Amino acid sequence: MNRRLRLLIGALVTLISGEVLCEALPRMTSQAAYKQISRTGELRRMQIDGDLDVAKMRAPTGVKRIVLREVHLEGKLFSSGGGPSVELQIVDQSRVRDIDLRNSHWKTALLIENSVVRDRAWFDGAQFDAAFTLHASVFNGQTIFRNTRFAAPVEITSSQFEPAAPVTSSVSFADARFAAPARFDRSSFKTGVRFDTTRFDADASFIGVAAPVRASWRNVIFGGDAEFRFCRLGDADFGDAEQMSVFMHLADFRGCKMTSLRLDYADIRGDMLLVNAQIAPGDLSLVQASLRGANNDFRGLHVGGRLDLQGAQIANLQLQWNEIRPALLRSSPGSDVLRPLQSRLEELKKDDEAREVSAVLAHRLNSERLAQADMPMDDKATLWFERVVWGSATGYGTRLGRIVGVALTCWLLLALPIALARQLRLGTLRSMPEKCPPLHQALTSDTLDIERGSPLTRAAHSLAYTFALMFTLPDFHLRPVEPVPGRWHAYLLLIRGIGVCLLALIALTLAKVSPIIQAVLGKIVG
Amino acid sequence: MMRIVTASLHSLAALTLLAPVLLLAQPTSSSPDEARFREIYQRQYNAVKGVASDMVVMELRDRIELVASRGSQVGAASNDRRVRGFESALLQGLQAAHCQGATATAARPSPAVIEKVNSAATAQRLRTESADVAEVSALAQRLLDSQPRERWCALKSLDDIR
Repeated sequence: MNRRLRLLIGALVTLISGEVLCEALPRMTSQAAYKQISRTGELRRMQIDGDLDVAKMRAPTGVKRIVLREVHLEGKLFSSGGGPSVELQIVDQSRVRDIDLRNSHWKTALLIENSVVRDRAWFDGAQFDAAFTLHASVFNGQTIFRNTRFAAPVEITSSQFEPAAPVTSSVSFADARFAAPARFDRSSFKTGVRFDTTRFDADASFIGVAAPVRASWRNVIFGGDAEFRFCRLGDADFGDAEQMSVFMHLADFRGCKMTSLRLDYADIRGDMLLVNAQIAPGDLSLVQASLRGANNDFRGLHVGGRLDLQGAQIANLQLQWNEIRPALLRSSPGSDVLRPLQSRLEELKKDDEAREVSAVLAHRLNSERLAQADMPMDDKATLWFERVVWGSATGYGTRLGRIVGVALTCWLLLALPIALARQLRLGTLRSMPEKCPPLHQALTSDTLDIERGSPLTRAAHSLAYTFALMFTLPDFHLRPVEPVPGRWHAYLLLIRGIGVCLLALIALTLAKVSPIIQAVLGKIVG
Repeated sequence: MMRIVTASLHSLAALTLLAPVLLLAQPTSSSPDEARFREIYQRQYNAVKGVASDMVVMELRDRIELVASRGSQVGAASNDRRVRGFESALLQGLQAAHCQGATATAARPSPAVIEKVNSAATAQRLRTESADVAEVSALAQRLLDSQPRERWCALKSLDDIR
């Protein structure tokens, strides 16, 4: 087949298919639609110019459902009384301008699938006794379920609620009641969604739900499991002191991505799973929340803003300190938050992490005490000393590397004046006496060999002598040669004192960080 | 003499009460807050131009619901009751202002509408911010403009607006 022929066939196919797509549907009136439904129970590929009253839809005997298939309703679907006599299905690329089922009472099921509702989808105050399903449908106007009662399972899945401008109102399920399981899986709510004061008597599933702006579940009771796995939410709000939410069973946020998450005062009685949840750039707030489940798992949690656990009671917490540390510290946690965390990490035998928390806790306690206005000056001075010497130098006994580094730096700095001083000479003991004189004590030149070595040798001697002086090396052979000026004598004593302090700090830190030394100390003490 | 004094006192009281509203209506005195208020108001007012009135009612209800959900006073009524209460108070206030012989002002934003929005919010103890008042006032104004005076004055509820 040559290229031109192929192009011609392609163009013809395009034209024909376009014709089919644009082909106007046969039109009928509302009355004709009622008649057709009463004959066959189905409308297929029709455009209805007018409103349709579901209360007037009567299916023929034996037919279990009324189906509107690829129907374009240019008016509104409404109810002058109850719903239709049998289940109503609106499917297969049907288009409805408006749905106004406010305050209607349906005893039969309603299904809208693969269809579009253009302007209004109002279900306020309606009652659905049978299943209610919206699947893979698009809602381009206002959608409202305020105060709606659902007695049977609800599935609002894979549907898109994308109001076109100028509509900016969010989809409201405020005050709705779900007596049976409700699923909102993979639906998206472009302008936000609100479930405030809603009651879910059974399981509620929001798996993969998307609401990039705002999603609100304030003052909600989740009677069954609440599953939010892999959700994509903007600011997710589950209430505060005045409008708190209750989760009677599982609260599963695994793999969720949210801009922020507020669970203040939430009462979560089942497991709370935040594994691999990402909350950024906002905060995760669990102020005064009560997490009472057997497994409250925060592992893999990433919070870009602050993690606020003030007053939160969290039982059986699973966490990785390094993962939550930055976000938690951004919220300046008090000792009431840090102490239980430390205890929990100790319980979990995560000793390194518990030690890290203990350092933060010690620092916080120090700050809290320093902040007390009525603290006497001498106590304040003690606290500052503790903060600088114990806190900064050793990380409150948790940073062995840091204190060793500090000690080595001190050694080098303190050795420098000895290396440069002309008045202070060092000599080697000719013979090691039975009782060695103290390291800082100067000796006469007849007991010492005084070398006139190179500057390098002098520097090496200075370093070796300072090290020995600081860390009290036994049987060391270098000593100062008399006469030693008074101020140098004081300097040598100072080095000795600093050395003792550093040794004590290293020993204390080692005792805290080394399990072996802890065990040995335990045996000695116990 | 006593009558003159009483009348003067009444005028003074009325002026004191109306002063904030009158100040808000003055286009010349524009603080940054006021400019922002006007901007939000105008944007909302223009945005719903051409939108069906019943949908504007739903937009208004959504805004009030949002304000109510932001936090209630402990022990206050439920959100739904407060939203309905607000709508009822607003409708009554606007009917009182527009249906008892007074001529509607052409100023936008209308001080009278803003005042009614504020008083309805206060009655329901709603924590409104300036932006909320601007948006709700714009929506209320649009509703007011969409209905003939007689129809507006006969309304029992905002749900009756078609």
